[in-house]
Amino acid sequence: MTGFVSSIEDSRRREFRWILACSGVAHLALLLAFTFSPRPGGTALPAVVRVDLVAAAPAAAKPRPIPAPPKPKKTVLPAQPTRPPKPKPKPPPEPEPAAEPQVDYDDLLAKLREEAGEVEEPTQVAGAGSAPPGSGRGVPVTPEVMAWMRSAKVHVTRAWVLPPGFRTQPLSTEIRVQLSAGGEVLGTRVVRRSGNPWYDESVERAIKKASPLPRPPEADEWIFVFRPGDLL
Amino acid sequence: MDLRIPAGGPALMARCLMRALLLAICLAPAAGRAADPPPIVITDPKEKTYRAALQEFVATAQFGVDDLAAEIGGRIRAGLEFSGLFSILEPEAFLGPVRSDPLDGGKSVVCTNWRQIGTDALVQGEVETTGEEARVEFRVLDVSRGCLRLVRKRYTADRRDAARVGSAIADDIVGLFTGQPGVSDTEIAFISTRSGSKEVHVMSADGAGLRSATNNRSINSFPSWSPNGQEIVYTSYRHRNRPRLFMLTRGRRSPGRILRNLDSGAPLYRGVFAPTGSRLALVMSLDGAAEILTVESNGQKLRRLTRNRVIDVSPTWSPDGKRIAFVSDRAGSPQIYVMDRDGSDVRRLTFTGSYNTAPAWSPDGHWIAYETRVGSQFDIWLIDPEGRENFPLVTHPRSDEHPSWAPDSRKIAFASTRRGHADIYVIDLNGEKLRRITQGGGDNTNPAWGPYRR
Repeated sequence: MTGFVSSIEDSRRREFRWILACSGVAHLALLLAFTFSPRPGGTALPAVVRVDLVAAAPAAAKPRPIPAPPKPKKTVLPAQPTRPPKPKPKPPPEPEPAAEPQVDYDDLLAKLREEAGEVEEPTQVAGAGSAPPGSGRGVPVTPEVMAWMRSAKVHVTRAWVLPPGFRTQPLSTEIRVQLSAGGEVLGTRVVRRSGNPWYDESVERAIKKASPLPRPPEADEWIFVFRPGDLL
Repeated sequence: MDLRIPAGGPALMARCLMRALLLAICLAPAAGRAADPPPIVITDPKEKTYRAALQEFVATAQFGVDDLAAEIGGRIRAGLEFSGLFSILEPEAFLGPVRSDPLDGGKSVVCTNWRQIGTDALVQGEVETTGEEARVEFRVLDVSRGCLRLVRKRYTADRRDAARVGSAIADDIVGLFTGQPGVSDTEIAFISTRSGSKEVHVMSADGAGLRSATNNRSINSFPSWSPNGQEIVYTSYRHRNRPRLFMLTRGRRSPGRILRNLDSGAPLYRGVFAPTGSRLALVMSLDGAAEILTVESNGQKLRRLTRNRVIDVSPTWSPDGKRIAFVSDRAGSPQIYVMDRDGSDVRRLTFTGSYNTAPAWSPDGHWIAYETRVGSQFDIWLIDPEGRENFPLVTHPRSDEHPSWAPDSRKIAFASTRRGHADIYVIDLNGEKLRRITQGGGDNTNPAWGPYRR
């Protein structure tokens, strides 16, 4: 009886060893999967993730399409049209066309934001541009990476020239930038075109003009999305 | 110690391995996607204008060419500034040479010298004259992109007209950076009383090179350019003091009266060239009311589009020539309407304001500019051809009238009495960069911006 019981216990113990071995193999496989996949620069802290839905890129960039017309800036335009047509005395002639100072609160706000070093939180836009709508997956970034992304954004923003004609069009260009450890732009690759080749060129120009960027956390390929807001 | 493998062992191991494999397969793509760093999103460019460094063009031949080179340089500068899209770096700031090397065999460009002063476009060139002919060759380097050559081009012109090449070069540079050439080498026709009577005048779009095109001491009005910029049709009272249409042609001295076959005695108030082909929209007085018709410029194929007892005036063509916007008081007050070129499908476009007139359809087709009366004066508004968006572009206590589009659809010329007498002004479509381009000399009204000259 004792022998029988001991043989059952032995058999269970062996089974347990096998389970232990399987578990070890599974852990090893996972470890290998994570070890040999490329990692984003120093990811340690989990972060809140918001997914921005980005319009799908055009199927193929048309050869030199005519850019859409510049949309007049409405925010600075005064007055309503439907004033009743009552005759009023003509004002005295002015020596020079009077240029009234106009306060553009959007510009002001943007300026204040920039002065405060505030940028769109990188963790909030994770997945934007590269992931299809609704399938975004955030990437946690360390505070160091976030700080670098913030200063890189300010740096590139300063180098970007965009004439008024482009500003209110719904354009978005995604460009991958290979940076050296010192921040030098080693190469660029436009991975999603806007449909307007002159706009895409302005993006490439901005990146190259911004070189060298602040020292990145690591020499790597970084993604920039150029998407002018419509409140400019 | 029992070394036998239990019966359930291999099966269990296989199950475990399968699970591990499945887990690895599921996680692998996610691990790959997570490899991309989050993008840095740039939304708010700080600069609206590119910086151009213009090296003096080198004269490669005869005496006196330096002056021509300087004149061309001046025109390039003026043209780029007029575009509003470029600012010019002063030569004192250059780290590289002020004067261009010859384009062939010169020293190679040290790109960092230009990069350090923030240059976007480096413009170099050479000028050569042979007899009465001048050859101007230039190239534009994109400094940010490693002094990439964007263009190298040669213009050949009569030496007396060679300065104009500078404007053409400026327009080329604007086109290289924005996709739409500049308009400094275009012309504006307008009516001026500077000689005592209302005569047709023509000037460059930036106001240079002003000259009179008529001198008949009568009343002349409503200039309209042909699509190729070779003719201007206008209304004149010079013939028996009745309104008739005349045509000015480049290279011909005396303007010719056109549409003589329509001379039934009915006043012919206005002719407007279609942007395609040689058809004209006409305003004629028929049966006691102003009506809109179309006709070939040789007088054939006359077609009446409106037929009623109200006033229908101020036709303007859509860029494809298929529709016409016009002004009618059929609803009791002057308003803008749109119809097909055969007179069908008439739709009212404006519903705000008690007096809307002088519509002008933009060359890109997206907007119709028009005057709206506010109090006792007029402002300039924009409306899209479907009537969905409608808002002011130019407002001022004095009158702003007769909007006319630049061929790039980025600028509008108009006449304003804001300085007492009327002058021609130009404004960007976003409401910025207002500038006066006539400098007094009587009243200057009725601007008509000509097409691209190439």
